[in-house]
Amino acid sequence: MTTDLAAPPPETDRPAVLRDPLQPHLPEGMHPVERSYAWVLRLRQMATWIPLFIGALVLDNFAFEGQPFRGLATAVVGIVGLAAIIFVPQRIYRRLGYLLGEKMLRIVRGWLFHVDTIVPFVRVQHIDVARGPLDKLLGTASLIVHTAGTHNSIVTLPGLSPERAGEMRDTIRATIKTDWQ
Amino acid sequence: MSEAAEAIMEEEMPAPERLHPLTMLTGLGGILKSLWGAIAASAFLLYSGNQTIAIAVIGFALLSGFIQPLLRYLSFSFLVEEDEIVMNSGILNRNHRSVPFDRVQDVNIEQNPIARVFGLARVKLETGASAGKGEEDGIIDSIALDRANELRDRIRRHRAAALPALPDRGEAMESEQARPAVFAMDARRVFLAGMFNFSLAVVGALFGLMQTLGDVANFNFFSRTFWQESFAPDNPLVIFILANQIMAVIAGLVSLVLVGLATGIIGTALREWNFRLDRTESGFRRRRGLLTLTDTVLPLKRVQAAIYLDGPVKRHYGWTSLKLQSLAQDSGNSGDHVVAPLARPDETKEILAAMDWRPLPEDAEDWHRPSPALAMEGLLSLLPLFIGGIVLLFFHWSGLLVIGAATLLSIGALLDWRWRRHRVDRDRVLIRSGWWQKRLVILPLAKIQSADLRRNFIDRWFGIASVRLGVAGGKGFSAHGVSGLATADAFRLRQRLLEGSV
Repeated sequence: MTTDLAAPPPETDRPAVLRDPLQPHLPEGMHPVERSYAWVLRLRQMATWIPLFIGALVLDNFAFEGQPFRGLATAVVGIVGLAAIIFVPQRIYRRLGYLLGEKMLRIVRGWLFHVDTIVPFVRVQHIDVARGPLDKLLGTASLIVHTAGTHNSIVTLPGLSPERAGEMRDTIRATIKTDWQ
Repeated sequence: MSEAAEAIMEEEMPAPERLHPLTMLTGLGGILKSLWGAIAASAFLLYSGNQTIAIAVIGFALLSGFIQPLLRYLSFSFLVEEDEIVMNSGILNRNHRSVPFDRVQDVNIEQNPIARVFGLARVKLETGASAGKGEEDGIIDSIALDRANELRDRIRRHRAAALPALPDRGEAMESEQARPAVFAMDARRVFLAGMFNFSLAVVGALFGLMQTLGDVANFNFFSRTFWQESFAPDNPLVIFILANQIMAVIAGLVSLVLVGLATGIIGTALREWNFRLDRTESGFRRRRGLLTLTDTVLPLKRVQAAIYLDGPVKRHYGWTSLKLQSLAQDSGNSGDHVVAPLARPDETKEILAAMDWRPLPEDAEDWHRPSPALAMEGLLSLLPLFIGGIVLLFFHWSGLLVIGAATLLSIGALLDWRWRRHRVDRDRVLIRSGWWQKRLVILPLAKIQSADLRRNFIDRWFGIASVRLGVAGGKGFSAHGVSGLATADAFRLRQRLLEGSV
């Protein structure tokens, strides 16, 4: 067991102003993922909010003609969507980190809901390296580790460079040996 | 970026294999099926005079039927390496999956009729990973049958090399001499178990039904007319019941209880009749049932956890029940295998002993309780309900009901917190929860597949975290874990649990 798996140190004071928006905020020893992953997240937010915004525009212009609250939907969706696109990606990015220990993979993620997952290599059943269209656009890949569990059986680590993902897959694979539980 | 990755892939995998080209034809069955819809549609279109559209529909159906297998053929490739198989799939979403041979539990070779005509086979590698949601572990659809057999032999050889001295696995059933059963239930016990299975749900449903439909159908134990019309008018009991409404209510309650008991007893007797649990070479064998006899073999290697469950009445009379969570799902709606529906604690101890599991520790020490913040969080989450009730009270008396419900739920939250315990007992973890129906999970650390530590933003204010454990088998939505620990304790507990796992 590596010492990295101990409790994280108490949250040190961060410089509040002029800090890098993508400055990782992770427990000690954890590695951040590729910076371009923040843009994958941003594009995903856009893919959610822009159609909603267009929908709201259409509604306001055609369905709510002459209604007193006309324009409200567009305004709300526009503001919330813009906020989500601008503020959310780096917050998710900052909190996403991983550590490839000797015997286990640890993944920390989540902005509002922190999830800190550990998968011992001996428990891994098979491994995927997946790349979606956005991943290809921005040069990232996801490492997906499958365990035999019914709960959390699929552990995903997004935002790796494809080379790194392949490397990690090979590292994990090399440790998998037969043990019939 | 992507070019570089492709280059690396190329280097690693000198000659990926493709599917058999005839694969594109194995989808014929599916195409024909989908065509029926198109034919019907185009017949209708022809009838209504839209010939061009009819032709377009047929053409589109044909095209889409062929395009899907074509795309799959073009995008899928696999490579058999020394100790793993790598599968590449997907067009927009590229997926590279490596399945180590060491993890393959079983190789299935399937042939549908069309595949048999072409000598093709669909290979399914089962790894035990429950990918769930219809997504399968490792499927190669399809390759030549010879190649499939070769692949299976290759994986078997690898496994045989890795496991030199594994006894033959075919001994599950036989070699069960006249050994006494590990646990068995006689008729009396089954009857008793049925009484404990008194179904509040049935009673509730019946009560609801009576209140809504009963008066129309004259089937309401609580109304006087039911008793008046169902029995002879000079029956003294009926006269007594009719004398006062209170007695009608009591008679109604008694009848409901009897119905609840009867459903419990009948259901249990049908299921658990002649319950018998035997120890075989590799595990347990369970036989039970009155009309439908079931005979289940439960290899011990597949057992992931043991779960004690007892409701308040059972507990009061000194009974308990024991289930085993296994890789396979039990028949019926419960995911876990019941190995003792109603047993004395000593009997369950014997079942554990038959599995070579230590009995539960006797001492009460070393049980850890969750942080009081968990109770606080529960109460806090009910605050909106209280406020809503009070606001409602200004307008309508039913606000009292809301406040009452919120109070009950608060008491429930407190009791829930009060009875949660966990304890690491050397190579296993014991988790207690529930105050009405108490639940005790015995989970060997070696069966923990992964461990999550979760904190949402409210948890972070309170400085608590919960540990969720990935365990194989069981029902989909009942994860094992420990909630509401102080964050540092949660980290420590997880580390301790995984130390045993590695």
